Amino acid sequence: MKHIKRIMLIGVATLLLLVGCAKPAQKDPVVVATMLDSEGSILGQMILQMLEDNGIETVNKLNFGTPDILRAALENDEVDLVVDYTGSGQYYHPEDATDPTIWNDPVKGYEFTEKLDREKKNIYWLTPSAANNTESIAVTRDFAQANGIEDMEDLAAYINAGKDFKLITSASFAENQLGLLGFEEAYGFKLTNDQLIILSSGNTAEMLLALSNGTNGVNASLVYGTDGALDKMNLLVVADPKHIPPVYLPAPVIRGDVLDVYPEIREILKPVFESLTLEALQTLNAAVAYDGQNAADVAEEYLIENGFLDE
Amino acid sequence: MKTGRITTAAGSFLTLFALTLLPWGEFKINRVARGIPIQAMGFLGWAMWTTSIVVLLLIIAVIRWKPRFFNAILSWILLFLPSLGLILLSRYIPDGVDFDPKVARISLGIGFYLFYVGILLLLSKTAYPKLKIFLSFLFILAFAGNMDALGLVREYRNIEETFLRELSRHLTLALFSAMAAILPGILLGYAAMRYPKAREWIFGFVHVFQVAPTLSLLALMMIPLTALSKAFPFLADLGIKGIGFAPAFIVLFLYSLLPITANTYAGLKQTDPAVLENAVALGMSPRQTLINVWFPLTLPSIFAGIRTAMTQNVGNTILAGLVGGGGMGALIFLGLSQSALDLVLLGTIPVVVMALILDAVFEVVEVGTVRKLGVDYDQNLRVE
Repeated sequence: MKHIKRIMLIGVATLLLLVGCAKPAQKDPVVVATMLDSEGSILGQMILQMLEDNGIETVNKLNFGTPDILRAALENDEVDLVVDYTGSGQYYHPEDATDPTIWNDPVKGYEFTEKLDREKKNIYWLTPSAANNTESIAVTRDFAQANGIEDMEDLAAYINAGKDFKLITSASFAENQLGLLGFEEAYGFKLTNDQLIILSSGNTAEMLLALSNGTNGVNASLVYGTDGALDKMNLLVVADPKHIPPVYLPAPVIRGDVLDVYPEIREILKPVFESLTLEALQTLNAAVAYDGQNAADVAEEYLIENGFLDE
Repeated sequence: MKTGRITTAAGSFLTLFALTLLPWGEFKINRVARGIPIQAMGFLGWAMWTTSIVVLLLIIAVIRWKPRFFNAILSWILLFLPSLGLILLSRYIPDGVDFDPKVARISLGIGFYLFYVGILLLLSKTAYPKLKIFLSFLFILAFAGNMDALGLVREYRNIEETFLRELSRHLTLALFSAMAAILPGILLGYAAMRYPKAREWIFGFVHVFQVAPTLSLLALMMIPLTALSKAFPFLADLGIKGIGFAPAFIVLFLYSLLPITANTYAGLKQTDPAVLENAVALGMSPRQTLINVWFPLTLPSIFAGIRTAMTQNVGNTILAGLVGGGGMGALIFLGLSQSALDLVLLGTIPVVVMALILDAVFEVVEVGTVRKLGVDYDQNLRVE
């Protein structure tokens, strides 16, 4: 009898212990942070709403800061879950990123960054969206039609013919081998200083406004793939058949410690990001940046429409 | 009297100029598109436009010939005009333009701003000018619900939930960092006075921060703070980390030192030596002289320094938005990243208003405290 009592006691104690382990007394809420742009607001809202819907508490730190600040915050445990772009790996692990060709490949670029971040920083890249938010050159539809420009080969021919050309772009794109310098080399043209207007920031909203208004004779601008402006402002992306700039796929990026506590986050976000095509992101960005709609509403509407959230 | 007349003339001119020639706003079919300018005549309509000009001319005539009547009654009515103008402006719908009413918006233009400035100038020479200016602004806020088409209101609706939180974060950051600098600033100013050899070092130290661009200072601050919080995890638990509140606070603190230190030093330096000699002659010890004579005489100058530090800090705190510190900067930079000028304005206007209110409040506190200590403000300034 004594034995049975003891065994039962041990059994109950183990059970209690297991219950205690399975449900830790306190699970810290997940701090979600994003960059200062419309895409950061939208993707951030989607993450917040999906996590909340699955019973995970969150802290809203959307539009946290510039990309470098956001990354530093993630590495310093200040935030838990961010949205980042696969091509950024070249800046996070410059010592290992010796082979520039992998950045033009959506799969290799992702795998490289994912592996290094996981092994070196205990940071996990979850399933990315297929929408490539890469850098391209945009022109107005009228300009493209008038000069028969479809891809970079056409544009190079136009520039080499000595016709009027002025590109507005960011400093980091203009001075990058995987940017303008790479374009010039691959397609055989060379822009002079007075054909360039270089802004210090990568904020394309101003550039596209200048392009659309023809300010200072600007007839070409840097643009990001998922930008909502293209359709709204009657602009066209000049195709880049040689895929010079890196591939930038947006993905949720999470600290390993947090993923250990909430392993389900991986599966919660996977279908959402997989559903986000280039066109879908362009539409969503346009709704926020150009129509001025509330990012939370836009995100919620998308999640409901696609069956990720119940009404 | 003469300045009063010039102010009134300028106010009359601005209001009339805005009503007749300047665009009050722009009608935009989306958030970023170029707008169609809206003249006062356009949104008021012929009849109302003519009436409002006649009324304005009448008001100006009353100011000239019956200033008492204007002061007592008419000026109180004048406060409503800017908000009334905004309500009517936001009702404007252009002819022959295809637009989506949920998306289209009206951004404020130079005409409205100059009209408002003109009204404020007209009010500034009447009784209770500050109260009236404050009320006129309050009315605009109160009627904002009737101005749905305004871009500013649209942007506010989008961030309603976070707006107050960011506002209070902004104020907390700006005020507490300046408050933390008061004592060290005064001590540094006193040290500079007391030890002439250290003076250059002290002023070199506080000047360095003033000259360094705020943003680069923030970036520099992140490195040691991150290292610190990694080495001593308990600091991280206290909120001292490389990102967010801590670096912003420290940088703003350093910025606040210069005005306080410099003003303390200048105030101490300006004190009449004869007064100090008198104090010694009365048998006061050096410490008594410092506390009972020197310090009270310097107080107005120190207060001016603190006031400068506080006002300047409210503006500088915008940069915290870039490093995760939050505040109005978060709105401003988000707006800039999307070329959404209404959102930028929505972040900027509260900063300006906060700075003005703070300055006004501080003036009251300053005069009150100085009086309490028994130093006559004017007399102190007149020491030769």
